[in-house]
Amino acid sequence: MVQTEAYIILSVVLFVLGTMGVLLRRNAILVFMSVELMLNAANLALVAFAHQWGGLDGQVFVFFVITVAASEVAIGLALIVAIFRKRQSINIDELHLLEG
Amino acid sequence: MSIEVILFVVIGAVAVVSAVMMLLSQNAVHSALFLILNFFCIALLFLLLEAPFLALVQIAVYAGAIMVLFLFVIMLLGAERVRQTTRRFKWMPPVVLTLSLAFLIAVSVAVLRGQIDSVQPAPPDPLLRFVHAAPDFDAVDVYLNGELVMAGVGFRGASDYETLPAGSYNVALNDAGDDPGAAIPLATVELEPGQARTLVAYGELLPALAVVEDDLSSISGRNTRLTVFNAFTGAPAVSLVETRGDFTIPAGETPPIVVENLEQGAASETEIRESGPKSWAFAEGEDPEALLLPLRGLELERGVSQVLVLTGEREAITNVLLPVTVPAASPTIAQFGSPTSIGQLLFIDYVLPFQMVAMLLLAAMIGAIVLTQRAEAPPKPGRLTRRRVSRPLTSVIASQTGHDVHGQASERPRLGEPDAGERSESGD
Repeated sequence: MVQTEAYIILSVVLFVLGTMGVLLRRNAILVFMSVELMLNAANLALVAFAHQWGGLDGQVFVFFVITVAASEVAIGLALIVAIFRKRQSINIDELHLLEG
Repeated sequence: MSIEVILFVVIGAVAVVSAVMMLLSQNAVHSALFLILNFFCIALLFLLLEAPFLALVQIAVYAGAIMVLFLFVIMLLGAERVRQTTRRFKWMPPVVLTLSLAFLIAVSVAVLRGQIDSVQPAPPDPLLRFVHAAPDFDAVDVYLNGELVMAGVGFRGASDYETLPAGSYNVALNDAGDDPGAAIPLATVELEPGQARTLVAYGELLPALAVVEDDLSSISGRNTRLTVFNAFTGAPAVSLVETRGDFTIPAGETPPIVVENLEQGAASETEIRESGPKSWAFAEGEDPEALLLPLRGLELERGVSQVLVLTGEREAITNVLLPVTVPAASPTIAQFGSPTSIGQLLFIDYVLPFQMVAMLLLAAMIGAIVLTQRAEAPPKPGRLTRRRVSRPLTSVIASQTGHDVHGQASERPRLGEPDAGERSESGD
């Protein structure tokens, strides 16, 4: 029996790795993939807590998170495609349209 | 180390390594493939955490749909590598690394000192139901510790399960609607958390109470769970035998026995049986060929936990007890994390969020279509020039074939004013 703490620590490690990806990578697609990694880490924690507590509400919530992640990816990738058409680049350092 | 710990360590290590490799690889396609590996590892961890449905959704939706979308966009844009530019925020990497490490350490300390594992869920409250199999009583009220819990259960009837706090209960019966003070105390029942019990009142004149243990845990596939209780006073013991389809037993043969020699007031072992129509019959315990009651129309439903009570009913004229059965079936509780249990929760408690998420997906689909739609290019302003034909077609044919095609056709063709159709063609 693996303790719940172990799952939580693993999920925190994955979450931190995802955060670093979001902040350090400059490819917009990589940034999106890191966001997916963070969402998955949160899902892992939710499922671990649901298992600990013996209730299913956590698993249902994970189901919702997965659907929201799917819609987020659809919109995000559409944005990336649109930006790439306009700027021929998805390097987020080059995207400073709103800069004053 | 148990197998589970080994699995956790190996899968967790692969997950972390694949996440790190995703961050470090320069090629976006490699990153996507490492992320797929990471998602697979998380799906396996979901399996370890008793979430088989989510594990499959994870693989189907994440590793399947979402990552295919990612790979498709990467390859569509040819964006495997971004142009290396000088970083705009030079202070970013050290600050991010420091903050991430600090966050990691802080949360780890909080998790390790928080004693998450000491929080244990309360076990579910016990369930109790009542089956009325005492032929000399009409409808009865059931009192537990002096409180009316199940009202008006008729003979050959079964109440629904009542959720009660665990503890000890004095069970008393009374004619339905009668003064609560006149209830006859019959027995004391101990209920522990997580149990499910069926109370059976049986016997002639003053009823006796028996407690039958129910097992509501889920069963697989086509099976059903059956317990037989003998409350029939007309015979010392009964057996449940399997007959041929027309409820006869070939002479001189011993029929296959389902439940053997069940004493009065005793419950059989709870056994898992195949569901479907059965041609079973109750027979006398000592002599399985002497049929007491053919169970016509008996069909065992799948996924159900059932108590079958055999009792007697007074015939109106002769006052003789004739055997009858009282079925008490209840659906089993779906297994933790199975599609059934998640579906029940989604459609009972979480209908509104479910609908909202569906709307969100629809909006995202429309949004993605709108965003990626290429704006229609305005038609180029083409010059409206009259097309000139330098040589009439017929003269060309004539010069090439050496044969005069002749006639009026050799005149210059006259073109009308260019019309709208020609203009739009030139715009393409």
